[in-house]
Amino acid sequence: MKHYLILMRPLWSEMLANTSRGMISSRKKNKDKPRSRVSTVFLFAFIIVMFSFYSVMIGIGLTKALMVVGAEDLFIRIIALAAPVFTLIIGILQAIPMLYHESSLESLLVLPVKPSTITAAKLTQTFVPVFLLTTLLCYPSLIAHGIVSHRPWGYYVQSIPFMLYVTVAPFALTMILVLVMMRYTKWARNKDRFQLITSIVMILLIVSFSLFANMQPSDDFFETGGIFSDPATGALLNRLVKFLPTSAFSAAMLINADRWSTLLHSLIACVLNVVSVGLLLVIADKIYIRGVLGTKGGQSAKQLTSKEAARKLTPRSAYRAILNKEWILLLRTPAFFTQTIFFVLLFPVIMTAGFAIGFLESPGTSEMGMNTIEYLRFWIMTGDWKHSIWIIALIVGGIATFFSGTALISASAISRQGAAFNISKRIPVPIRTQVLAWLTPGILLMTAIWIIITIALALFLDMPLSLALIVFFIAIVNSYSMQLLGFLIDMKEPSLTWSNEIEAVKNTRSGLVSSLGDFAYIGVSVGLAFLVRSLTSKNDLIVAIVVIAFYVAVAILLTFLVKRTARNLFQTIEL
Amino acid sequence: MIELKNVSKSYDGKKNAVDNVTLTIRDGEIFGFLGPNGAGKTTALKLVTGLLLPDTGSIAIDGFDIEKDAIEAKRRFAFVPDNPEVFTRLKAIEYLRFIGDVYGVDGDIRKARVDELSKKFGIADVLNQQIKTFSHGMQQKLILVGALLHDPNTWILDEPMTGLDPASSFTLKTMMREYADAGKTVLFSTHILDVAEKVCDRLGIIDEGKLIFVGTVNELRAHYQDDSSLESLFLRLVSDTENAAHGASFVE
Repeated sequence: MKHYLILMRPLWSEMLANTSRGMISSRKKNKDKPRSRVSTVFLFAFIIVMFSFYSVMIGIGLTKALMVVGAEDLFIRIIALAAPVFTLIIGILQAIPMLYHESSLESLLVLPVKPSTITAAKLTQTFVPVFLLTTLLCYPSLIAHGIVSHRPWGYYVQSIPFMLYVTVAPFALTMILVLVMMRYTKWARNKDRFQLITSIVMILLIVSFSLFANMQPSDDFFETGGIFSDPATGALLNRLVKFLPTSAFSAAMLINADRWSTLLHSLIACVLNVVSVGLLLVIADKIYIRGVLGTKGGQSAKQLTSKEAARKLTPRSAYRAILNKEWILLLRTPAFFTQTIFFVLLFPVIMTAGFAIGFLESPGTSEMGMNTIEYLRFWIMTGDWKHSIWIIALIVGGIATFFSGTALISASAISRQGAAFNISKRIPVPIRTQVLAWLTPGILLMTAIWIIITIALALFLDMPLSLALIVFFIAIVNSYSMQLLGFLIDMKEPSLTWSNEIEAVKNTRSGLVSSLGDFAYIGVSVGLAFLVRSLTSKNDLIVAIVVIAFYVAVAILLTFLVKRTARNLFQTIEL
Repeated sequence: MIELKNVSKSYDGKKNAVDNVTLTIRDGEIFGFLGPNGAGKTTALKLVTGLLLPDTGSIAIDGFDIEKDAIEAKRRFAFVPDNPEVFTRLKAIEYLRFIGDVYGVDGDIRKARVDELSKKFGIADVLNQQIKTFSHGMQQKLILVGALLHDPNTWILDEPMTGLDPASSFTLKTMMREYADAGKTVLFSTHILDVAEKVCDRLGIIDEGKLIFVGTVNELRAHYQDDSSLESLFLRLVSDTENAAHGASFVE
């Protein structure tokens, strides 16, 4: 026990540091400065308040809705099911990096401490954040539910062990799954691959949740409880909870908080939790350390035959070599892939799906009884769009600017190279060739995205070719400008001395300017359009010409600035 | 051939990291840069390779100015840094292909050199692995193979023995000799005086940015009329310079 407590001290600090590092971005420049305790506390407080607020709102809304249909107990079952699901998701995402991929593991393994103590300490270190986050998501709503549904005082007392009962056993089972998987399979042993998969899963979960929330009619969700007040959903949840004995007994304990039977349910839930923890410790003691040792050491790769080596060394032009290197690094580096390519591909999909759902469900216009999509089709079919090209230019230009501004591919092209930028400085390749290769992935991806979006819009809204071409042209010009703007800032103020790959993409001046500068650019173009419109007595054709000319002029100006800055790039950046 | 003329470089605008260095390194010789930590060796090598630009003076490699004819000058040398700078998520073979491409090495020659050099440095079996799985020494070996791929006329190495196993270290020293004997230029920095004594044709000793000695080990011995090791001569020289600042007279 003494060794366990000694081990927990550094592990606890490490856990806090990891959590705050993930949430507070830090520039390498300030690496020697201690991180402000105030900012860390403030950030944690903000997160707790934000999560608690949402949790309470859901608790109140759902309880009120379920009370209308006389099924308020269902709320407790929902939480008793939600908590294990959160534990499972957060547990897997937390456990593999913390138990297997942390650099401090090697220093722990050489300590003169029993392996079972190390195992217990590492499991505790993994459990604490999982429990805290799950509690943060569920507990405030549980209290709000108690207040709204006038639960007895025993409910509030029992709600504390309830949170433990509904998380400990699922955590133990999740950990057993992780331990077995890491000991006997090769899945997730590759740190990069695991990071890539978990990042994608997390982003997809968030997107699915936001789309699900979008699809719920928000006006009456808190009055009717949406799908949760449907008797079929209620029956399904009641059935599901029985598959998780700890959740079933914990829910029964809380529902019957004012009866003596609550103690029996509490006892059974407690025993089940203790058994599951015991089982976890026994299994972990046998396979955890071996699993950790199995993840260390170099990865083996198939040896190349002479023929394969010759094929893999086939000569290419310098431009293609640099471009190929850029693609490989973007695709193989989890942080680069998720923050650039994946986001670039996903963002338009989310936006388009969100708009499509919103427009299809929009109420019919008062005059024609059409939804927005039908109205747009009608507007295009009648040729009325020809009188509003300036509006199309502003909308498409704005969306393209926003998409491209948030796609940080070009905006991080220099920073992503890190210390290896010296290679770019050393190789005998003209700077214009290198710049072209660095810019190509961003511009190519944005072009591909807009080809797809334009074709989809043309088919969906029955666009004539001329309109589709206008949309595509405006989108491409603005996408190009934003890629150049980000790249220009990255050339002027790159972040090359990062220690964490995410810093190379997210914590750069170019990332900030690119993500926020697009709003300023959109604002200026809208302002210009309205100014010209008022000066020309609402001559829409002139407004359209001026807006499009402005876009083209900005693109030309940025091209010129990039060329000029690039000329001295290698002289101005010293590592 | 490498020529430095009155080269100075300051990072903070106050103290010169490299102070008015004039030096010619001839074809066919191995030239070793020696000096205490922070003496300016790495800065000097970075200036020669164009990674840093001098505040004053000029540097030419095979007659091409590193600033004005940068591309031509870069074609003529290979640089091995003290810390492996490499795109770690590329596989070793991808890195070598990249280097071959940017230096325009012909396909057959490239294949033959990769074959020969990777076997020489013992990395032939790991060419298909990502560089990030390599140890420091293995990364250093890969960079050495990459550096020699285009058969440069000038070879510049910063602390090249760091992290290398004894066999690779021996191979490297032999190759440096072969290179110089073939009429090419080898410039390297080192802390290991034993290596410098055995390998270098001439030495340059730098301290606080100033070149305080250029010549052979025998010339240094003759100056001090002392037959002791390079280590004790080096320590005397650095100590003398710090005490009397008269070292400039040694420079040819």
